[in-house]
Amino acid sequence: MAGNAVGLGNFLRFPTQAAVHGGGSFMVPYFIALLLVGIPLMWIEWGVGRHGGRYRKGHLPGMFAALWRHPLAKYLGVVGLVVPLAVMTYYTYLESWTLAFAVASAGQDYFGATTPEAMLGYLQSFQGVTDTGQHRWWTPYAYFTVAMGINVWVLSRGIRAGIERLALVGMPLLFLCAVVLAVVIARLPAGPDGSTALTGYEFIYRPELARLAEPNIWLAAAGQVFFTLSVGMGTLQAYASYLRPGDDITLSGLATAATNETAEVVLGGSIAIPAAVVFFGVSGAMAIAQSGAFNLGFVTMPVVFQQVHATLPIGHLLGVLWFGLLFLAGVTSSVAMLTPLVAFLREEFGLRREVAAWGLGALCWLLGLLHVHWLKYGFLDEWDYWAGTFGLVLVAVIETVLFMWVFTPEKAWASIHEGADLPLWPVFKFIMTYLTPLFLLVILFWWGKEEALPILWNQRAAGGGAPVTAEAMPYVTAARALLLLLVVTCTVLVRLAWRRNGYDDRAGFAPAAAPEAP
Amino acid sequence: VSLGATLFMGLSWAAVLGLAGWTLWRLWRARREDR
Repeated sequence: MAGNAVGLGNFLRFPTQAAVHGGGSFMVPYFIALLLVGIPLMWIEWGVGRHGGRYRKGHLPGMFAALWRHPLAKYLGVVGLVVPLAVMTYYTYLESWTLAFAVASAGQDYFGATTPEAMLGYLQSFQGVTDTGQHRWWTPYAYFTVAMGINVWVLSRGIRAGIERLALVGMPLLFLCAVVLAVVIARLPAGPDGSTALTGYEFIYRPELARLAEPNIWLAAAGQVFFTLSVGMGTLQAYASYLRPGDDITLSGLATAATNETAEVVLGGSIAIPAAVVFFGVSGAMAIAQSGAFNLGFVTMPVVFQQVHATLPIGHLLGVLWFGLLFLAGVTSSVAMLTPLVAFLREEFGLRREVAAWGLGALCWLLGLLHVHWLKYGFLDEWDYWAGTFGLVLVAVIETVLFMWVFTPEKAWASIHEGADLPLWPVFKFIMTYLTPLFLLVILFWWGKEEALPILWNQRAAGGGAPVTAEAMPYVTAARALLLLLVVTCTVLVRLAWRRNGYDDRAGFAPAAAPEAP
Repeated sequence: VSLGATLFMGLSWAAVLGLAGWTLWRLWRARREDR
């Protein structure tokens, strides 16, 4: 599970989010959201998943129908099919950047680009956003295709055979590499404006209390907690559906969250931001972060590797290791994203795992090509906003209300504690019943008012504050139309599945004899 | 570096590392007892 949670969010998205939202001003709401929403949702999702697994349901439509015997329940779960499918299409594309940068490090392709402008130019040339002639037009398509192929191949082999082996080798190596990099960055000499790594740490941890009144910082912090813990995706639930009734949830869920937070706060916060502050100063680091949700790591780290290379000729190898391990961490996360959909097709339509995995992989590849092709028009930002941000909170609200209220707090608490190695502090029952849904609902409405409506009316782009340009408008509209089409298709598939298998919404499912082997 | 930032960072790191260490130790102990 930790292998699934630790991914691009920790080392690439977290530093960017923290830098954009003022460092210390971001960390206070971040920790509050982690305590009130992140960790409680971890237990809720594992509980929802294991409960669904009793009826051999590894997907949210089935899990919600198992919690609430009502015809609507299965349709509420549709969002739990659309969100992971949509996120998978662009997450794999972002993952392919790490693969491309690992190869570029091996060939010292970006060596010589030591200013933020030069490195950002290199990145945007690879992305196809600008045409500086540094990359061929087909380069991002090729890396994306390879990344998607690796994902589907791992997925088609099953959870245990694929992800566990990857995570067992890759995670300790990634942690080790991150520690080495953090030490290297801490020892960097002062940059052109006299900033050191300590300046970077001070930027991250000095809260400006006045900025805590800004709603967008709270929303961004909650969004990062969701993204990094992989909650609201339907993937943790799919994994948990394979747990047996006597298996522990409480301690394992907490350990997963704590391991992920170590990777994020201690290691993720000690690499890209301090390095960016040393080389480019605080304002430079913020400017790079504002240029794209994942850009800080891709612009800053190559400069670190070049700096290392100047004293020890292994800088390029460190780059290969770092970006290669990030790719591995990304794969362990993205493979999980298709797991609920594979479970849905296997359980409800009797498809073989290989057929479901390759079929879904082909669909994701086709949809992902649109992200590669239309990145500069905000196509990816649109999906990242509606599916990867808004969708996650929506899933979380629905599952929390169904599990903690419809299923009742007593049954939910007892279900989470079945086979528990760690009895939870009773205050968490209060938090999960009242504060978690309240926090989520406030976020959903606040978000709706402050961001979703202005974005929907094109008063601002999903990826930034400016209004959508006339040039980008057709692509933004296409992005929304395609997402809507996915929602309709998944709704029809759920209806077909229920008819095909003759499920009675009011009677519930027959319990499975034993959880199916993953 | 300001005292506030140092304290905030120290407490954050201690909380996260402490929780990770404690939960992993408890997991290891639980698995050993299961065996």
